Amino acid sequence: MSHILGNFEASLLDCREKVLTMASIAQRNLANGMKGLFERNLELCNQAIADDEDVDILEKEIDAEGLQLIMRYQPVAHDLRVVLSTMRISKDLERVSDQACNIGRRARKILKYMELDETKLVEPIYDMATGILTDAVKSLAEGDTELALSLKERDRELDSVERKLAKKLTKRMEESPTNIKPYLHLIFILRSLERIGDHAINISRDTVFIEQAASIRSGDPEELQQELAKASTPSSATS
Amino acid sequence: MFLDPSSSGTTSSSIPSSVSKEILEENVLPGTLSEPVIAIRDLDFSYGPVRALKGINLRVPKNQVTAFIGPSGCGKSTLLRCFNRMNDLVPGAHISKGSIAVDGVNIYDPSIDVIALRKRIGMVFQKSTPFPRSIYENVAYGLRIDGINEKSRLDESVERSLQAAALWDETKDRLAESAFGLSGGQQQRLCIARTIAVKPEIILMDEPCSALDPIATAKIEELISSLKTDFTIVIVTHNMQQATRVSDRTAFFYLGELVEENDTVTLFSKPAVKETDDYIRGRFG
Repeated sequence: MSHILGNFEASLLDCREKVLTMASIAQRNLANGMKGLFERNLELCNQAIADDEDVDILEKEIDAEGLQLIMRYQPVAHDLRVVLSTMRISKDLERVSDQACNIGRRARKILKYMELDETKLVEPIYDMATGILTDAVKSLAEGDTELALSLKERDRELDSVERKLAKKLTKRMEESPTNIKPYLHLIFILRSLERIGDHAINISRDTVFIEQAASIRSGDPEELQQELAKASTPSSATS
Repeated sequence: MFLDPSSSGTTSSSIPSSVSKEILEENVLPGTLSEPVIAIRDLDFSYGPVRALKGINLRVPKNQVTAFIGPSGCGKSTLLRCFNRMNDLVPGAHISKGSIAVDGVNIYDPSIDVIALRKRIGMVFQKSTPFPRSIYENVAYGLRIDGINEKSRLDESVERSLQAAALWDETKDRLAESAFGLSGGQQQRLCIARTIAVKPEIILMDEPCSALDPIATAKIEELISSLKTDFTIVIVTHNMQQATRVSDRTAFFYLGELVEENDTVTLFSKPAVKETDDYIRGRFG
C-alpha cells in the first residue's frame, strides 16, 4: 500500500534507489581496481580512483535526503529503519569505494615493478570479498535476511585466508628484499579486501535491522540469536 | 467511594452484574510494572442501532499514560467517554455487551453514583472549557461543589492544583481575573488544574492539544509526563508524534475494534498487526 503522502513515498524510493546505485558503482570501482592489478591495466586503476567521487556525491545526497525525510515526515517502524539504515549503508558503501580507490592506487604503484607471481594468489580472496559484498547488496535489495545472516561465516573465512596470505607475503618480503615495496602494496590490497568484507557485513546487519527490527551490530552469535528471538516474539496484538 | 463494591445485580444493559477483583489480580500487564486500573472486557457499545465499539478487551495500567490512536470514527473517543460515563448523556447510547471495571468495580452497575465516578475520573476536552469566572473560582469550582468552602483549604488546593498544572507562576498575581483573559494554552492548563483539584485517580484527555500552538502543546505534554506519577492518564490523540512523545502504552483502534495495544516504543517500531503498521506509516486509505 502506498503512502498517503506521495512525496514521502517518492523520497523514500529515491533514497533506496540511490543507495543501490551507489552499491553498483562501488562494486564496479572495486572490479576496476582489481582488474587493473590482475591485468596490469593502468587505465582501469585510474578509473577506480576517479569514479570514487561519484560514490562520494551519492553519499552526501543520501545523507541530506535522509535528514530531510526524518525532518519532514517523522517516519516510524519499517520506514524509519529504512531511512536510518540507508544512511548507515551509504557510509559503508562510501568506505568500500574508498578501499577500491586505495586498491587502484596501490595497483598503480605495483605496475611500476615486475609482475609478482603471488598476485594471482590474491584473486580467490578478491572473489570471496566481492562475493560477500554482492550478496550483502542482494540481501538488501531483496530484503533477504536469511542470505544476510549467512554472510558472517563467509567473512570469517575471508579474514582467515587473508591473514594466511599476508603472512606468506611478509615471508617473501624477507626472502626478496628488492621487492619489499610491491609486496607491501599487495599486503595493503589484501587488507582493503578484508575491510570490504567487514563493510559488507555491516550492510547485511542493516538488512536484518530493516526487515526484522533486530539489532545485531556486535556480531556475537549468541547475541544474534537472542536479538532475532526478541524480534520475532509477537507483541500483544488484540482482536 | 463512589459505590459500594459489595453491591451487585443485573444492569439495565445486561452487563455482568459486577466484575470481581480478579480482573485486576489475574494479570499484571506484560512489559509493565503497573497493575491495570481500568479493565475493559469484551465491550460492545452502540449509538442506537449503530455499533461503535466491538469486542474491546483492554487493560489500562496505573500511573502510566495510555494513548488511543486511530482514524476519525474508529471509536477511541467513544471508549474514552465510556470510562466516566459521559456517553450516558447521549440519547440511545448504550453498552450492549461486556463490562468496564475501575479498580475491579463495574462502573455500569446501577448502584454507581455517576457524579462520584466523574470525580474519580476527570476529563479534559479538545477545546478548553473555562467557566465564566475568575481563575481562582475555576479551580475551586469542583471543591465548592464538594462542599468545601473553607478559605484556607481552597487557597491551598488552588495553589497546589495550579502548580501541578504548571500554571501557578503565570497566574499567582491575577487569580481574581477572568479565566477568559488567559491564552488558549493557559486555559487548557487551567482546565487540567480544575480537573486535578478534586484529586481524581484517572484523567481522560480527548485531543487536549489539537487547538494549541506548538509551545502550548509542549507545555501540556510536559505536564502529562509529570502528572503520571500521581494520576493514570488516558489520552486520545490524532497526532502520532504526540502519542510517541507522551505515552507509555498505545492502543490502535480501527472501525470500532481494538486492533493492537502495546508499549509505545514497540508499537511504533515493530507493530504486530499489518493494519497498525499501515496506519502509523501513513499507508492507510
